[in-house]
Amino acid sequence: MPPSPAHLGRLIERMRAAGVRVIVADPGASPAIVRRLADATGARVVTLAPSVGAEPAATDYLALFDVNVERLARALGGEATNPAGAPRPQ
Amino acid sequence: MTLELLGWPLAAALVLAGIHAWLGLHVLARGVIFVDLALAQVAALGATVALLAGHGPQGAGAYWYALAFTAGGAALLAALRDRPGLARAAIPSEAVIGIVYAVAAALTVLVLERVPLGGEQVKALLVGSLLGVTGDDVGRLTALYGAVGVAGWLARRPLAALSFGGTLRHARVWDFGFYLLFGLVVTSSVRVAGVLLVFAYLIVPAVAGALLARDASRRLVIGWSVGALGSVAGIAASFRWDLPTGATIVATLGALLAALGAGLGIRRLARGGRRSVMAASVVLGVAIALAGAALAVFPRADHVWLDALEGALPPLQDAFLSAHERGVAADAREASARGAREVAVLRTRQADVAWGARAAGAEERERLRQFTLGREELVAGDRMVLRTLRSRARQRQRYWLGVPLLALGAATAAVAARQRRR
Repeated sequence: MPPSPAHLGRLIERMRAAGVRVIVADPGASPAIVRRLADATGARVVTLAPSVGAEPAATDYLALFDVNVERLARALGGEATNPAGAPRPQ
Repeated sequence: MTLELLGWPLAAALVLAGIHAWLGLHVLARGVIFVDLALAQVAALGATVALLAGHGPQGAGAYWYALAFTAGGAALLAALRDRPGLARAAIPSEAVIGIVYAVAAALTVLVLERVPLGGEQVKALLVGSLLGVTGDDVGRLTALYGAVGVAGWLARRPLAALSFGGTLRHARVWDFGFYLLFGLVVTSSVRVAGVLLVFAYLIVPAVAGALLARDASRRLVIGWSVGALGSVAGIAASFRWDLPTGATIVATLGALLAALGAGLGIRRLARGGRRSVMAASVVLGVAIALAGAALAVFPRADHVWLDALEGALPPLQDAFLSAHERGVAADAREASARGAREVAVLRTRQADVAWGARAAGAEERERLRQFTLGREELVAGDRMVLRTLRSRARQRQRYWLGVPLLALGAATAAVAARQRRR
């Protein structure tokens, strides 16, 4: 369900008070609402893949985590500790 | 915060109401009510094909795909206008419009089956995201709909001849032009407001105008007023009662139309004299008899009217409980209300901890979680006690309330029907 104005207002106030820097979005989330939240709070938006195949890069379970960790690390201003090119356990 | 959050959505809603009230007059006059849903679905099909081609749901690619598909739909609807073959077979325009809608919807499902998160995309098309509108969106919509309005004003005579009757050369070309303008507006509106809200803006103000006036310009003014009133009241209600904005505006527009219909019905009743009052009494009597019969036959079923009455007047239920049961009900009501208040406080405290506004260690967090769950269980228990007592009251009400209501309603309807015939 789309959010109500009161809910969105409370969320914006919470985010401002807590100094939230990153919004983690689902690919199915309304882009307009996510953009509105980001505009109102100054937070950066990072969209994570929820499952294998949801995005071309998420080819298997480990690739899914590689993609998501890399995006989160970039959004938070750091480097991924286990970048996509690192060897994986077999 | 309220103005920051609701200013642009309200502006967008007023712009949408303005253009759709005008288009709605034409759609209503032509009797092609569901053309909006059909073209919106064709636009949705175009946007879905764009997703399959790798474009984002809110991107320019999706918009142009949707517009191209809508132009195709507009051409098809204009080409089928007044076809002698359809007229000979007595096939109305709405049949063709319905087929266009169903086929476009089916094709959308087939395409979405190949798109990740297809279900989410369908939901987004239905409800839109009016709350996510920005100043740039409102500017674009205003410019586009202003241009459509100017085009409509320049072509007002041929469009009026098409919709309200009159002779016109090249009617099919004008018809295509109308559907093209219509498709352009619908494609743009659905991206912002969703299919349901766009349909409501199109039809409800136009119907209100048709109920209150005969002259097209008066109908338009009434339509604009109803659309604006529904937008302001709907957005205010969604903020006040914490509800999704688009669906609340649709419900508010529906409520406004129902209130208008009730007002007109009462005026007609007052003008119709005794005969109309008797007709209304027959309807009222039948409704009371049916409610009484339902209570007598199915006491355990949901009786919304009785729940509402008992909610406003608890003694109405207490009258059917024993002295001991009344005491238990009073205790359970008080405990349930107190528990709900405590749960709300605990939930707020949990949210504060989760957001970092209040410091709490892992043990305290766990204790808070357990305590909240415990209070919720107690509230659920109190509510179950109240449901059990209501069920006992219903068993007694079936004889002491259901049967008398059945008899009263039937007698009222019979007497009123006889009086009406005299």
